[in-house]
Amino acid sequence: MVKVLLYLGCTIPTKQYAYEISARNVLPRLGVELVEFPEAGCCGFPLKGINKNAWIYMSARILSLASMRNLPILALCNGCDTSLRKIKTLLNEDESLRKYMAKLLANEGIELHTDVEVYHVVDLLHDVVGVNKIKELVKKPLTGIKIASYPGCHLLRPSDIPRPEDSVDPRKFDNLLSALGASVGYYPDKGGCCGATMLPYSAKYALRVVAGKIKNIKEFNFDAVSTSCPYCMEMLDAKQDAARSEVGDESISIPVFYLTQLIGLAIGLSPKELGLSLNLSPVEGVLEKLGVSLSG
Amino acid sequence: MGEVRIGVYICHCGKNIGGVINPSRVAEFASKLPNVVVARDYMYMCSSPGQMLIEEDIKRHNLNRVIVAACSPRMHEPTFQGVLKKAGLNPWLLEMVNIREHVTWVHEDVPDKAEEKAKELVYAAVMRAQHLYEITIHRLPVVKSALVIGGGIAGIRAALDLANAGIKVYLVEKKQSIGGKMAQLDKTFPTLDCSKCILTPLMVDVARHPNITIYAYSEVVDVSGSAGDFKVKVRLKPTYVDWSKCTGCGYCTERCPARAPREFDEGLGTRKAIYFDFPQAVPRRPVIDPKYCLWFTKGICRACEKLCPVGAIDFNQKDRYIELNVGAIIVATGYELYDMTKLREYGYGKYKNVITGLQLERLSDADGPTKGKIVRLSDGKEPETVAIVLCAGSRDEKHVRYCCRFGCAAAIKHVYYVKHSVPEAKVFVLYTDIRAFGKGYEEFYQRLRGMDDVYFIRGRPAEIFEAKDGSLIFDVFDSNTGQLLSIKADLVVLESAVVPPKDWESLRRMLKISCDPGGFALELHPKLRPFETTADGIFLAGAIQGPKDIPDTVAHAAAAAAAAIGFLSKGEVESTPYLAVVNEDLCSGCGLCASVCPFDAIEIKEEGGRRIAKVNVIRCKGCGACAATCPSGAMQQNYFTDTQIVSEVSALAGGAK
Repeated sequence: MVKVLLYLGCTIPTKQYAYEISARNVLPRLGVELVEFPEAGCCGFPLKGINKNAWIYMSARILSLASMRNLPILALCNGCDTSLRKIKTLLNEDESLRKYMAKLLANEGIELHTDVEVYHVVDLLHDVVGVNKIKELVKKPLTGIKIASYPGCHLLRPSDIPRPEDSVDPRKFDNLLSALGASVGYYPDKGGCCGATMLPYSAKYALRVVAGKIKNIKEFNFDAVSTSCPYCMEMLDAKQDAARSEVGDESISIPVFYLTQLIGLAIGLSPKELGLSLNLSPVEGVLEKLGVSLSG
Repeated sequence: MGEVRIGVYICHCGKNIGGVINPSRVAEFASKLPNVVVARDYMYMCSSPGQMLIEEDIKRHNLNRVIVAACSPRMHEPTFQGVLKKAGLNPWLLEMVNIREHVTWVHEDVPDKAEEKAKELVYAAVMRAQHLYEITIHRLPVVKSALVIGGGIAGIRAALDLANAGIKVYLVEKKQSIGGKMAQLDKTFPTLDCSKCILTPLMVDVARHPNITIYAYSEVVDVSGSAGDFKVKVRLKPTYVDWSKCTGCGYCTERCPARAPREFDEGLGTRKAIYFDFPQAVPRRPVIDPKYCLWFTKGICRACEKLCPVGAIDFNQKDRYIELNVGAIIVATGYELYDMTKLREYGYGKYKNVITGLQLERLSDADGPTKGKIVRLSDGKEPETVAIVLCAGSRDEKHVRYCCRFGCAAAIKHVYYVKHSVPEAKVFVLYTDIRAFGKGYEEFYQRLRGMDDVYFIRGRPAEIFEAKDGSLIFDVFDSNTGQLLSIKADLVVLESAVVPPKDWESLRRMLKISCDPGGFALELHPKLRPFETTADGIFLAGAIQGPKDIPDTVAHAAAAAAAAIGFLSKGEVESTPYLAVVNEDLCSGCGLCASVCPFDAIEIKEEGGRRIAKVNVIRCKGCGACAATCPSGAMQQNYFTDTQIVSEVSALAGGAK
């Protein structure tokens, strides 16, 4: 049993409920005890380009609060995970920055600490829970379904700070999917960006990135895509229709699942327990193959 | 030497010195200093009468120290040393004081103070001169032969030049044949002449030359001694063929049933287990590769042995060692390509159709795996689109920082290969800068750049991906037009970065020469002495000094050979006068001196039950690092001993008397 602080960030509780629902139902069944972490705010990542110190402060605050609880952080979102680990590295390397942040945090009565472990779902499941443990729990293997893992760029990069996956040759996500009985494989640009950060500036190009990605995946005969980042999900799942109309290609259509949703299906949870009715991409076909229905 | 008798000579240097200070007053001052027997001033000390004056004084006054206060010792120290020599004195009993550059030229506006300074400097020199002593120059004979390590175009050219000058040359090559990288090339830029056609005649010249002995399939395992007299141990690797009996007929290689990847084709083609590197190999003597030979791996076959008409096959051959005695060594070990699998985002080794420039050479070569046809390796089809990526690993802080110096011209040549083999193909050249600096290179570049369907794009590909059909897709930002391009290519050619050979480091340590940050051999001076090393008698030829194309390699090799010929034909090597000298009574054998010596000239030896530092008089260059480091003062440097320097400095500190 491993005990972690469930850190949801801001995108999941505001837009991507299915990730939270599936994570809360699946992880405890894999032996992960989730502890609430209501005092944590936003990780600050979106402020990075506007006010760097504000970003550093916000992540430093979360790290410090977690170390006061003496528990590791589990970040569901790729952005939160990157932000927390980046700031942890920065503060450990830069003594003057550390002093400055300690001073700011003292105003809130928080003592700066960075000696806290940060996990993302992928490395927590792969490295701590273990592939074998998951394999043992599988009741309904995803046999015959070829799933494209899409880790999302921040699970891999920047490679100068500890990342859950290798930047050029990510394998953990695929290992987890294989443990569920699914087949996996190569497709071009697996480690590429989903386009989410481009969306506010050029929706057109962001949607083309989505369309290109789905096209690549379909060309390599995948039945579905799986991701572990709320931004990637938003782009591939919710924006799929818009991407299709942007490029005018009817073949742009593929079911998209959170990793936690697929694990839930394989260990026998119901679509309701996994928030599957919230997925906007056509997931029904895959569910049918597995003998479950959204209503059931 | 008994009583110290000093003569001091103050030069006017016309008005250069005499126009600012009064040299007679300085001479007058000097005449009262300790042990000064005679002090004079003269209009031009360096002139013939000036020199004569000193010479006569030495004889008449029985002088045993001479001080000349004039210009910089850089200018006339050798002149006045000659005077001492002529008068029968050791030239190192001369001391020069620079009262021109250091005094009158810089203090023209304050003549009184200038004269004062001149006096102080003369005083310090007189005090220093009390402690000068005779210095012996050691001379050792030079063995008139040379070792050339590496049989590529650099080694070939150097060996031929040395041999033609009448010097006995031993050429050691680690592969079966000499020829090196140049033999693997199809054509050479910018003239596009066939590489082997211009190389193989030289290889034959090497083989036939009475002054050259080739040791192929061999490597240098130990080097001792010093300039003029090196002892070199060479390992002759077992070839399992008695080369003295073999006639090079090649029956064995034709009939051998075992196949292995052909190194000469950069792993693309196959060869037999008994093989020549390539058809024009020199020496034309095969070797057996025990990793693939059926006798060594399974204990069967021995077909070569049965077929050989002269009974040259010998499965029991072991390593053999020979000792060579040479006066000079030319290092011509060349370069290797940087491991392209380290550029993970380009997928070399993962995607079949990503190849290196050298592999493209092999595809283009009539003796290559496709008999000269350029094809996609995944399916053997002609490529419709080829992307050539420059600076693959070069000029990249994650890999090697320096430029490979031939990638640009090679890439332009590779455009030609593709357009020649598949005229309708589209070629994309993805470059960082095109550096077409050599003679005729710019014209070559313009010619190829102007061809139809050849696109030069200034940018490096992002990540390369493999599409379903084995072709390669990637994005590249064209910084000339500010556009992001998506390119799909059937074949991607990486113009690899260049690094020193893998086994170079151990050889470098044997030779005791330094390296630059890239690991290449460090030249004595980057501009003026680019083919010499800090070790006398060891010269550099070709790419081991830094990446070079063929014209530069040949020029460099010929220069190295000329320098070696000059060194060898002097007949003897001289030690520096500023030698480090050990006072063995004081030496504790701590070894600090040896650790700071940049020339590896000091060895700590056991003698009479204790450790003592010993200086190799030929290797020592008189830099003084050891003398400055020695904690006990046992290590002294000739002409700059502690006593000499301290006397001079305390005289200056105490002011003129």
